[in-house]
Amino acid sequence: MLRSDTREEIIGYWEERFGVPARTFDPYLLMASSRTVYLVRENPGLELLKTMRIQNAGLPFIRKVAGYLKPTTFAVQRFGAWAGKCIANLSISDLSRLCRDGEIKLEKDFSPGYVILRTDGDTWGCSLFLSPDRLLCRLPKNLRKAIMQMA
Amino acid sequence: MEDAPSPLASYLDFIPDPEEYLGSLTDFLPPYIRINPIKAPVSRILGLLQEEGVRLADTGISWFYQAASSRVLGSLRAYHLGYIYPQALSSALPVLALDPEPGELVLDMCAAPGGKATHISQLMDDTGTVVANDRKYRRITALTANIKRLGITNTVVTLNSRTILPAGQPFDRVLVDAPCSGEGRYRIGPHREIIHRKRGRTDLPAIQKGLLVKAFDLVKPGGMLVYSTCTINPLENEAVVHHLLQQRSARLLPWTPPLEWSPGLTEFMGKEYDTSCRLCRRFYPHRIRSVGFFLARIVKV
Repeated sequence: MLRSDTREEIIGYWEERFGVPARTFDPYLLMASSRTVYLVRENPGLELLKTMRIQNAGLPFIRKVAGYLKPTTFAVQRFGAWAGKCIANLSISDLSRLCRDGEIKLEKDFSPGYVILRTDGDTWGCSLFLSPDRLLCRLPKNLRKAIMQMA
Repeated sequence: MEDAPSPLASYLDFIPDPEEYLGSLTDFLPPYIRINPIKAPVSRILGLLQEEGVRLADTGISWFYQAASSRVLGSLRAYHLGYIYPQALSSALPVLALDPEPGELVLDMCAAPGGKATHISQLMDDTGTVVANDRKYRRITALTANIKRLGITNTVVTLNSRTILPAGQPFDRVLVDAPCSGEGRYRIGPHREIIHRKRGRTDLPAIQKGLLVKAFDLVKPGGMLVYSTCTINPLENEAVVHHLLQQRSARLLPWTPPLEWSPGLTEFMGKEYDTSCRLCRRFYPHRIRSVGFFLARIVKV
């Protein structure tokens, strides 16, 4: 389980960066492994499972990459619908080009950091926006490959 | 009917319309999907599938559709967004019989690759806790990948054999979708060979009996246990349930499934089973146009 100040930092990041209300995550526990923080639905029954050989729990939520917080693809796909800012709305062909070339030009006034990728309202994950106007692909390899085959 | 391949020939006495059954085994079963409202509104998922050229037919089971597509279902946008899970229609049945409710603690004892465990999570609105257990590490990888793709937060994945599952009776409900010979999947190929036949000489009924008794011991008094297989073989089905009824204070419950069914058997090859085994439910592939299934709904008295 995470310390409350670390939890606040992580939930605060989602709220500040993407506009996802902090209360969205009230029903969940945050649990940490060495690199990844997992989001687990809170339930008193979890206490009863302590003696079991647990492989993993819940949904990978966020990682620290090179000192920065990076939301996982799965968490962005699940909770990105509640985001109100730092959203790159792309066509499926632009998303495919991002996956193929690894970087595309995106004229937006986002501050540098991760942005959410959407096509027609569907949330795919996030990628890194760098000034000026650079969007760097940070989707997992298997998803990139699948998106390239779709366009 | 003389040319029915073994072991199917020994089942023709109890399978309804055995000629129709044998004739149907050369046809491919249609593909089905389950849609995942945890990830997006149902209307959006159906709209996207339509945009991708998938023709859907209603099945009468919530979230399940027959899906016809010129493309592999696993290559669709809807798949990679975690909006769908390709799955046999009959796989819905054990989960519907289990009838999990939001907030409960539920164990899926043989969970990989996760079709039923993630369906349980959907029925619980991704609340409570689902323990998705399997005893093989390599199968856990697929299970975990599916849980992540579908965006589920209420599931704990465990790697335990039945001998080291926790003591006590913590679970509100337990599903044992047991390893089986898979005869409900059998198809007959152009040379009259059986397709999908599993290899190996494991004593499946012994494993199944051990799993079911252990599962029963993990359920709270008054809690629900569902035993299911995708095989037709009574030795892996009613005989296993009969064993539990002899060993423990268990009672079978009636259930009206949403697909055409036949009652469980009370006799096979001269062996008699507990008369309440008629409350088990059998599903034959030629009647439901999906994988053949068996299930028993059991309560801990």
